[in-house]
Amino acid sequence: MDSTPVSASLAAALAAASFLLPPLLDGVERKIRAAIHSRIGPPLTQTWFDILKLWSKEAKLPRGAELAGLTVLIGLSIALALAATLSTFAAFGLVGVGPVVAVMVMVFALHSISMATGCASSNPFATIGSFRRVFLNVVNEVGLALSVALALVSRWFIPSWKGWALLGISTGMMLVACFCASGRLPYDIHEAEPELASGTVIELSGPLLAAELYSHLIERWVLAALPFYVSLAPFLPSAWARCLALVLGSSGLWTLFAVTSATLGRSRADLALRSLGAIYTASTIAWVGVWLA
Amino acid sequence: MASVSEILKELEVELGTKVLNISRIEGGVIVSIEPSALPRASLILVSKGARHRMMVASDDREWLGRFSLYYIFGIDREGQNIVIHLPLDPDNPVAPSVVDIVRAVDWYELEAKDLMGIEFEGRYPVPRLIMPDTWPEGVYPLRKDVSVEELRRLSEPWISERIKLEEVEEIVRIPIGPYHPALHEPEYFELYVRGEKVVGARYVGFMVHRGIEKLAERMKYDQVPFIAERICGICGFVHSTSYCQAAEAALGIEVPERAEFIRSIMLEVERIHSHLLWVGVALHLLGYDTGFMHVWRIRERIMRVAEMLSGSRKTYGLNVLGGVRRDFDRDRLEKAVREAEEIGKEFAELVKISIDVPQVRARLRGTGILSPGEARAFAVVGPTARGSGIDIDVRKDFPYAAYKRIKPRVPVYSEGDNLARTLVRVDEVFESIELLKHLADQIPSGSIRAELPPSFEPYRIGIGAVEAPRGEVIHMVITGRYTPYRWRVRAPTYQNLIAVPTMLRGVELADAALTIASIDPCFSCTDRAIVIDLRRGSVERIPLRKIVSRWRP
Repeated sequence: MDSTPVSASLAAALAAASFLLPPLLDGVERKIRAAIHSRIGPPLTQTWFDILKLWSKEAKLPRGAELAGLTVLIGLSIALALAATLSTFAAFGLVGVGPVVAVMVMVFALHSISMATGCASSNPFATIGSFRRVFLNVVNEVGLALSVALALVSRWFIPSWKGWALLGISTGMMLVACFCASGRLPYDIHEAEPELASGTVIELSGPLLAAELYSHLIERWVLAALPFYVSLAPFLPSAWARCLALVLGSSGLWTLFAVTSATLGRSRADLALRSLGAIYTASTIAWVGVWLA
Repeated sequence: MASVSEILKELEVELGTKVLNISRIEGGVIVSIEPSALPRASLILVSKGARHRMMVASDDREWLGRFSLYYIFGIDREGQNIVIHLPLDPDNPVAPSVVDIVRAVDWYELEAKDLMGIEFEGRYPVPRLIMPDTWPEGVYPLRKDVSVEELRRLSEPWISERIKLEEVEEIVRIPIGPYHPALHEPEYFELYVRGEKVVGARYVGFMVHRGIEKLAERMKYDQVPFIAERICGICGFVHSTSYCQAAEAALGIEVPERAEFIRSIMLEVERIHSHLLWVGVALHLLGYDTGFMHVWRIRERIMRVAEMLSGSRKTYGLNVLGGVRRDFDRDRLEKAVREAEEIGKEFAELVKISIDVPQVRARLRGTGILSPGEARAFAVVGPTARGSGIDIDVRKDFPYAAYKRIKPRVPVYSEGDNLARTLVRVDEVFESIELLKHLADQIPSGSIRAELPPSFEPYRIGIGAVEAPRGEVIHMVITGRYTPYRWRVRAPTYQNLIAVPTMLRGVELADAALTIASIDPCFSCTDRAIVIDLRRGSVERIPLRKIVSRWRP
């Protein structure tokens, strides 16, 4: 463990980056999507402007959705804590089983509280959106947990070829799980505007919508950084390298996710379950096959 | 399918003295019968393969001292209509219901009851279709003795009541509308879902009834095409064409050949535009916004073609009674064809990419199914019918304008799902581009507008039908001396909408919006804005000039 003042400074810098970068990366994503659509798109800082504008509006919650306001604020707290924890762990080289499990527990807690936001609303579209999310998470959270677990096991076999192959398969599986968990197309079925009129967030407006949007973007950053934290950071010797890998890697992966989602249509709950189930089953079988070889 | 003469012979034999009169009109015959003979006549027509196209109720008390019902059945193979005419008692207009025999007359009967006060015996009791529950008994808006001013006074109080009602939601139902991101017009579908599966659906519509037919009764013949074109913001030209055809048929006006070609060219441009718009919207509903953006980028090009030819990107304003207002320049026509060919190439590439997107294909295939039998029973039209294996197209079956000389190839798919309806429209874009080439190639020279007769003979009937992008549009005109005595418009959505609850049954909730959109519905495109203050109960209309001035930079 690097417990130097440099690591502490880097942890603080990385945490600050994890708070500031996501809305800017979302701006990049909007630009990429616009370019694919043959549009100009909004400026890179537009998402920050959106958040600040929403934050300045009056707080209003319809009757029956009071609990949703509380869950949004809890979700924002967890998201900030998660980004700070991941930054600290990466800077200090805490990449063993214990820290990874701690990060994953926080990721699942954030997902659970997000599901609760929709469930807390009395709006039928929010209810349907939440159940879609629960439905999807039943498969995807298992896939995410399994991929992280397999990556941790794979690390024991490194530096043999088998170890690298096992890590490659589990990281690939993790990329799919992180992509799905980030709520982008084709897996944004809980919000699905044309079908559910924004679904889980339909009742949110003003500061609460800003908080929900911001925590969701931080969650996306964490999910883009997670594969690098689990599969790459343990092999990087210095705090500088780990922090740089997380910043550059998450930005690169965010961009890749943006391009992928822009070329796909929206899935359906049953189709999403089927396709994700097939991917995770095939990946697990491949992993076991290589392990036995 | 039997021929017109065979059906007429059978009607005469079977109905005997109940056949009151048989007279010929352009494109068909009118058979007047006693009301009691309607069920038997309907049975004969349906069993002989006649297709119900429209029903018109008319208040003929001023000139014939009675009400009339006109049931228009099409004999597609011959391109002829058999119009069953029922004279009804002026004081107690009652007709037998034939909804059990002709499923497609359901809404027509309800509409005739709501708007004209005609009772139908033997049908199951149903709530009002068009008029609200709070509408006073005995006031029938389309009767001649009810003025537009009276209707305006009566309608204002219930608008606010209706708005209040629509805000009431219950958890057990999934409301789609009256305003919803996927539906850009005021309509309301109530979906009953188990899990994500739609097990039932109900449609509530007619929230905005613009009373255009009534307004036209105070307009001169030549003014009506302008209001007709504003029935729809996407395919308005089909309405002005259809009205002109009906009025021209009734008044015996011969349209010059060049004008007919110009009408057909604009109709095909409009079809390309409408289908591109729809494909874009469908891809958006499927979450494939990349496809949506690119289709609409291509659509922009066809709007420029329309502008180059007519001077307007949309609502072309070309039609006048007896022809068209402006001629086409040869160079511009050639340029338009070249541009259309480029559009075709670009669209072909885009379709290949879009339909191959796994989520798009998976959600189109096997969803929103309307079987051929159901499609026939509801007498659906256009791509909705052709997607269910029913080979009908007005351009082919009842040729009009330049389609009398140039026959289109009509794509038909038998699967009846959302994919089939999509592919019909995609194929029709390419076919319209081909037609455009042929029309531009063969357009004759000559005048573009016929001389109108000095006076109009009243009480003559004309039927005009056009194959709109959404399906068959039919207009019927009964002439008056200075203005149309009765003008009836039947848009394709009216015919297709009744089948939507059937299509929705069994689909996943995620595909409900697309299934509704798959008939390419058009509810009331050119509504005017009103502001309702619920607390004070006041209704303020916003005139167009005020909206324009607000938007002016």
